Amino acid sequence: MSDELFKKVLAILIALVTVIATGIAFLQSDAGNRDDRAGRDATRLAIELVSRRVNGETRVNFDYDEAYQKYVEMGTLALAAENRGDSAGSARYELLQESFLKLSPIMQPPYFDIETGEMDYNRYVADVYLTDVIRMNEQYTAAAAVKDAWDTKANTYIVHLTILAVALFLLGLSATIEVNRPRIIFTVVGLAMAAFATVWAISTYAQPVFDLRQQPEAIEAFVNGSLLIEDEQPEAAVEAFNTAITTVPDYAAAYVARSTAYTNMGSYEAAITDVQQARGLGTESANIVGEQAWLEYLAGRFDDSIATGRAALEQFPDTADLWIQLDIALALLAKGDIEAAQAEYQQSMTVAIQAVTDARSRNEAISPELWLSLTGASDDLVDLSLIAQSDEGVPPLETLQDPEGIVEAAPQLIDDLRNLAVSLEFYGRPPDEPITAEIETLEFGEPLYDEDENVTGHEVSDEFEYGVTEMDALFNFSGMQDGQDILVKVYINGAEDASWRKLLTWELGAEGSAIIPLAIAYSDTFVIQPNYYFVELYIDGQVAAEGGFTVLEPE
Amino acid sequence: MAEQKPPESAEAEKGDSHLSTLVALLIAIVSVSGAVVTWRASVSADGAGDADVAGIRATINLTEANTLATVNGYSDYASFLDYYKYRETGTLLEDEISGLTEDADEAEIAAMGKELADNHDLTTAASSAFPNEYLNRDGTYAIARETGEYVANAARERDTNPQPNFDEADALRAHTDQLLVTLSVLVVALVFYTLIEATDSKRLKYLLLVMGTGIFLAGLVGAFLVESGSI
Repeated sequence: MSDELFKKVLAILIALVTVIATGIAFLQSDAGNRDDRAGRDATRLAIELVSRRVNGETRVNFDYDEAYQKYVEMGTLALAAENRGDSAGSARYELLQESFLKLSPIMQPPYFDIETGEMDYNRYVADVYLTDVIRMNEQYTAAAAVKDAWDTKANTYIVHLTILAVALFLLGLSATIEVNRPRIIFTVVGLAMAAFATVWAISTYAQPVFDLRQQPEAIEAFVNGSLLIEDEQPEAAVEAFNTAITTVPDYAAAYVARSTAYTNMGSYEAAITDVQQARGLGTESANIVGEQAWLEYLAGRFDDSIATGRAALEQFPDTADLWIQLDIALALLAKGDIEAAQAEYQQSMTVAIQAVTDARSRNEAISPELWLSLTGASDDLVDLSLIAQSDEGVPPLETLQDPEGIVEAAPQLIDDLRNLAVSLEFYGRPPDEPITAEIETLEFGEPLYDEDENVTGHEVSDEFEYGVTEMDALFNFSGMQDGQDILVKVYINGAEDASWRKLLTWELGAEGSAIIPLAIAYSDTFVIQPNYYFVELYIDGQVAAEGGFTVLEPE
Repeated sequence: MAEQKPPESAEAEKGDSHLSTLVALLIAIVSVSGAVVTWRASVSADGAGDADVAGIRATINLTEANTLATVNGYSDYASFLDYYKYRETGTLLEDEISGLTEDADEAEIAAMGKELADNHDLTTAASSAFPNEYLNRDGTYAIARETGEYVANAARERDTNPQPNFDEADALRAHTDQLLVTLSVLVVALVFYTLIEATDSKRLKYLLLVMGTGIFLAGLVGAFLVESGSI
């Protein structure tokens, strides 16, 4: 090929590459515009979503905690007046109660049945804000995904343009040099780069950007399913999520939500499958992996649970979620590896103490997540210990490798976890040296009164008939010091009811007998509800005594 | 001694030189036109970004106004509920006292009178805890009116309508895309001008010149129409 002809061909090639570069520049600009628009939509939805939730919560809280509670208060006062024989007062309160009905929509149909007094709270919450909030959350997630996709495309086009710029440089260079071999090399390499960039750009352009917002029926099915979970209808929720997944097979959030519905139904294997499916679709976080580990624990697959939990900690080493490690310890215990479980619990508590030390050195507040995780872990241990003893709950008893070992090890672990949780919550530091004070014979009794309303004694028991209105804790003590903090925590059916909590300063000297009122006769209508009440007594943040009593169902 | 060229060859060479000069001039004009179109596209894209920011600011203003209106409104409504309770209790007590017979127990009358007086005091105290202008004639509270007025007042002071800004941003983005399409047309014209230099056929050269110029003018007119808002 003559030099003249070579240069003419080169000029044509440079012109063609320039046209291609212009086309890709246009695509890059278009992708950038779509990226900006989706990003703006996501930002807008995020702001509106938070506002909608705050406004909705505020309104519902007012309706329920203010308006409805006033209604209940008037009813209670009417009943109390009736019990006192004040029929005029009772009638007055009933009239007043009725007049409150018009003050909030939560006390009107279809949310409230005046005849039965039943309230459809979930429906009211759904109508006021939850439906909108769930929908907006999905739209936000969709917009953010679209933004991410177009951002990736726009950045990829920039790579193509950069390659084409280099290709143009090589083609231009080959036009300026006279030596045959180098200019052929430059031309061939330049053309190869241009061809590569063009094919890559076409491939990028051909990749569709999925926008969930264009599948409103899938979003509506998801919203419906989420509301049904709130309404404790997991079977119907699964059906709704099935619809969402049928419409959009890669709907990761629907798999996560359906796993919650399956969990509520007790279908742990199906829930695990859904979580794994969601992870496969890119929903990967410490929470979701930790959730899978927990589901595997509930399903009795302890080895899988431990492996998944460890994978979560390895994959997300910076996670502040102590609960994942505590769940590993629980799975180890359930597996029958008692010593390893004790070591894991000890390590978790060391991590918690170190986090407290770090926070204090930075002069920062201690994260409540620490004591909540520790308390949650102790509650889980109580449940596991109960399963080992009574075969009630999940994981099933037959999956536990060493039930006796669990029952033996659990009390000390529960005490250690609760001591640390209480110390962190109330004192912001780990427990001090073991306390020297001793609490003996912790008992529970209903106070007995004479005609002048003076307490004459207690009816001590561990079981009380329905209708008991007062309860005292009675015990002997020694080695106490005035000024020590006394904390009483009451667990109803395994979960602490904070309304029973008492925080006192000790003023009764070194030794003797004490009575701490747990429940007083608040009103003419109050009775202690039928349940098992487990009571813990802490001195300076450490468990000193524990016991329980049962209030029987009415006959 | 220099070789003498034939007159027709010199004539042809002169013609080629004129054509080359014209093509060079056209390439320069197309390049400058392309630069101007790129500048206008850049301005338009910048405007789209600004409009988006203004829209987000309006969204924040609106959500802030809504949230404050809700929080303040329902706080006032809670205070109203206390007022309502005392007021209605007082009304019922008055009815009860007026319905008492002459032989009613003196102590009971005195107790009810004291309760009524206490209720009046509590009603008066509670009435100062919320804006009275939102009391309805039937004695209920116009919470929707209070929150609505709060948002309306906020709208007078700040932009609380994001949609027009977002619409403007979308329009400017479409404008940018259209300008870039016309830029692509101008680049195609440049290719035709480049091809003139690559061919020896005179007829083809002029054909390419006409086609390139036609495309250039189409791109230029397109850019003008886009910029003027006709498209």
